[in-house]
This record gives sequence, C-alpha cells and structure tokens, in this order.
Amino acid sequence: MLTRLRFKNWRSLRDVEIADLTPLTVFIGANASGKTNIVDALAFLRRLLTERSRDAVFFAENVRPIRTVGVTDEPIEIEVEYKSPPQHTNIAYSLTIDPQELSQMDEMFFERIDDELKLVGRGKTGMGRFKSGFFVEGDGVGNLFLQMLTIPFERITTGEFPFEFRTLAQFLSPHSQFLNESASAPERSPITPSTDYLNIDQDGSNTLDVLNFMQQNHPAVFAELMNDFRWLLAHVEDASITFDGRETRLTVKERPLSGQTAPTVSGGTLRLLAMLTAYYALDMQLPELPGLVVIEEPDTGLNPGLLKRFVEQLREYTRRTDRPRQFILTTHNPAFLDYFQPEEVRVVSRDDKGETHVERVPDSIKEIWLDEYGLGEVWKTRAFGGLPE
Amino acid sequence: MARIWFIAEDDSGFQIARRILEKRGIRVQVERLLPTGSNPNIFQLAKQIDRLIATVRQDKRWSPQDCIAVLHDWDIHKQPDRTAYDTIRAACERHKQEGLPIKEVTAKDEVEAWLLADSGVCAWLAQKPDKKCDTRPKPKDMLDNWCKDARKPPYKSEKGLKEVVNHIAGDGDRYSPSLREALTHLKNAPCIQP
Repeated sequence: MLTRLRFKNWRSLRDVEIADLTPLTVFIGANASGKTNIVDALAFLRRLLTERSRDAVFFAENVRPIRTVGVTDEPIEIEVEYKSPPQHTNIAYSLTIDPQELSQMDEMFFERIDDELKLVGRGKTGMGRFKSGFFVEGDGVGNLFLQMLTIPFERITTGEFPFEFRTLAQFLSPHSQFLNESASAPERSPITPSTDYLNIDQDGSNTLDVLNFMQQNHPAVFAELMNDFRWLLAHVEDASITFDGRETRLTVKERPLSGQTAPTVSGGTLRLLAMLTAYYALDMQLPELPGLVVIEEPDTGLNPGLLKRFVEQLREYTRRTDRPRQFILTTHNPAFLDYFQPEEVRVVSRDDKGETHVERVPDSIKEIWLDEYGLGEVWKTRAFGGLPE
Repeated sequence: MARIWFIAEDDSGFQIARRILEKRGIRVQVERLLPTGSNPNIFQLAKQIDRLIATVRQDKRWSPQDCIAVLHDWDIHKQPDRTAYDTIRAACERHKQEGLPIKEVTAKDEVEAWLLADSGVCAWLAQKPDKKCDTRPKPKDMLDNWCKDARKPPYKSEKGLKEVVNHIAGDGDRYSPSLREALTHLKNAPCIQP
C-alpha cells in the first residue's frame, strides 16, 4: 500500500508531501486546486515503469508541461513510499528528472558518482544526470538503484530484482488502474486489435473488451463483478457481454422490464460498470498481489442515495486480505464525503502563488461534529479547506 | 497579522461584513465559518453555535490575539419566536465569561439594511441612501428589488451578491445605527490593529 507521496516541481505541486495514506483515500478541493496533478503524477509513474522514461516524459509533456510554471532551474522530484506485504517492509521509490535535459539526451547509462549509482544521459548538447531508484528500509539492503530507463520492465517483475522491488513495481504498474472523471463504459465498441484486455483505459473506452476477456477467461471473477453490479444497482437483473466478430456489446436485463433487455443503458450505470471493471481487472492476473485503483470523481453520475452503498463496497474491497487493494479517489461532492472518515480525506488547495498544498482534516473535527453530522456537511461550514472562494 | 473569525448566519452576511471592514481600512485577516446546510439560517446557527466556536478554537491557525465575531440578522420583524437569538446571545456571553474574545454582531433587521444606506451601492443602483434602513422590515427583498429595477442581476443570486459586494463603499453607518454599533464593536476588538 502507498503510505506517502512527495512531489517537487510537478505542475502546481511545488513542494508537497502527503503522508499516512489509508487504504481508501479521497482528495477534496476546489476546481483547479491540483487534485488531478496528484493523480497525473501517479499515472506518470505507472507509464514510467511500463515504458521507457523518455517516452513517459514526452507523453506527459504532450498533455501539459510537467514542470511547475516559473521553475526553470530545478528538477522534478517524485517520491512514493510503499508498505510491502507480508513483512510490511517500507520501500521508497524516488525519481529526479529534468524534462528539458532529458529530451536532449540520446543515450542513458548508469555511473557511480559519490557512492551512488546515478543515471546519466549523453546528448549532442552535453551530459545530464537523473536519479531513479528504490530505497528499502531495513538491515543490510541500503540504497539500490535500478536502471529504470534502460532495463525492460519484465526483468524487474520476473525475479531478477529483490522481492520488494518487484512488488512495488507491480503495484504501481501493471497492478494499478486509473479512471478519469469522465470515464465510462461504452454500450458497444468495435473490435480493436491493440486493445489491452487486462488494464482499463483511463477513459473507460475499452471496458467492454476487458469485460469480454474476463467473461471468457475468468468467469468466476466476472460472476463476482456481476454480483456487486446487481447489489449496487437494484434495477439490474443481469448483464452480459457479447461479441459478434465485429463489435463487443453490453446487454443489461432490468427487473422493471421483467428481465427483458433494456433498450438503452443509463450513463450512471455505464460509469459504475467501468469502475467495477477497473477493480476486478486486478483479479485477472496475480490477484494476491496488492493493487491500486485511482478514480477521479467516482460519484459523478451516481444517485446520492447510492453513495453510501458504493463507499461501503469500496471499503469492503480494501478489507479483502487475499487481494489487498488501495483506492485513491477525488471528489467535489459533500454528499459523497459524508461516508468517509476524516483520516481518509486530504484537502487540496492552492495559495496566492498558484502552488498546491495538501492537508489533513483537523483531528478535532471528529470530536466536535461527527456525532451528529456527516463529514461532507461539516466541509460546507468551511471548518476545513477545499472550497472555492 | 491577527485574525477575526466570523461565525456568520450565512455567506452573504460574511461577504458584506468583510467588504465593509476592507473599505473602512480596518487591518485584520478575516476567516469565516458557517452553519451546516445549503441554506444555513439562524436556527442552525443557534443549534451549532458551540460546535462552531469550538471549531475556531481548535483550528491550528487560531492564536490568542485572534477574536470571534458571531454575525447574524436581528429579524425582529419576521421572527416573533426569539429562542434561537437568545441561545446565540447566551452562548456568546458564556464563552466571553470564560475569557474568549467574542462579540455578537447583529444587523437590524437584516445585514442588507447596511447596504440600503451605502453610498457605493446606492449610486450603482441609482437609489437615494435610505435614512430609515434599520427599520425596514425586509431589507434583503428591498435590495433585490433595487437590483431588478436597475436591470442588474438579482441580489439573491450569486452573481448579484458579488456585484453588490463589489460596489460597497462601507459608509452605511451614516444612517444605520446597527452598522455603527457593529463597527464600534469590531474596531475595539483586541484583534483589530489600530
């Protein structure tokens, strides 16, 4: 499980540390406060571990510049701390890059500098030094840096490196799933040969392909997903995926229609299906390994009356010891926040300089308010931050 | 800089008070806390007053130089049942007795009365300052009507409130005794810098 995140010079995250993460963590904050920048940084690490670093940087830069506006002479630093089961060893992964320099490098190699293995790039414009590595707390392990830019991901995950490294690398990717705020399952999707059947796309566009693969190859996982789908949405009697050689199609049978197929499927239903698929996709490969599910604004499209049940379901997922999972969520919705504990919430805000700050909900809130009021109700009193001016 | 923590009946009252302090050159950092609910009101304020005060006192930014202002409408024309107002007054008194720098600040009959006599707001809405503003039964409705007559966004909308607040000159105490009293309270508060 991720226990601590630290960012320097990553977009609006000029210098941010987020400690004591819980299995279920929700980030709240006004629009443009920096919630998505936190999620993007994790998605960047995921890409970094599956692709070459330069590709990940180029991809991220294509979306938006990744270095804090106004900062030109300092590198970007991302650090994550992870508690690895079963011994609960603390592992940290840290990355230091200069995207501008990185883009000018033609080759990468490691060099021992000041007793540390440092990543060095050589290009037409000169030399650059970057740092990317794991640090394991404990006796006799010390600093060990992996050549993340040059070593294929398979070598990290298949036994050449110590167990803790492999677990963290797996956890960040491929055992992580990301869904953005508008992600949704389509009702039908044409065949796409390059589709990833094990990982859901951030916009949910390949949900049906993942589900079809699950239905065919992991029927027990698919059945479990359907059970939860029916539990969460009382109107759903059954759902299935069909593939006719040209397109994959979702069929939902509804109770109000006496089990007949619904002619259309609601947006909220499709979004919920994408979220469940993101979670259950992790059960299709090495389910016993810890997994991470990051969902932006999961409450979008869900009726307020469903939110309690939905959060309870997520909480139950985090308690499955045979398949340890961590959820990182964002929300704007006080009604959604009502079902979280203060220690599960991080408040994101931006100061006058445009820099993001992340804080915990004050401990006193529980004692003062929560005997009678939900956390979301208290949020609206401005007892803690995260609301627009 | 010391802070003044407004525990306000609703957000519009807070925004008006903050702007008046600013226009009067009163140097203080201002924070706000509101009762729960989408449309907080005097009953929620009365029910939650102790929780709200406790929240301020537990805030990590709270310092002994800070003070608290509990801001609400007096509503004498529309609320014959004074229980909620008595509860708020008693709570403020109790906390004051315990040494907390707290003031109850009331507007007669609503905080919008202070704006009916404000030269900036009146000029913007092409109205003469109302010399009897504190005795009007429904100042909020009056202000809303003034906005509509001037073809401005209605005061009761978020946009209208923002526009009105932007035009406050902060001199409504010429004709509003309740604002005069509120400003006297606030100027003498220990958190206000001379």
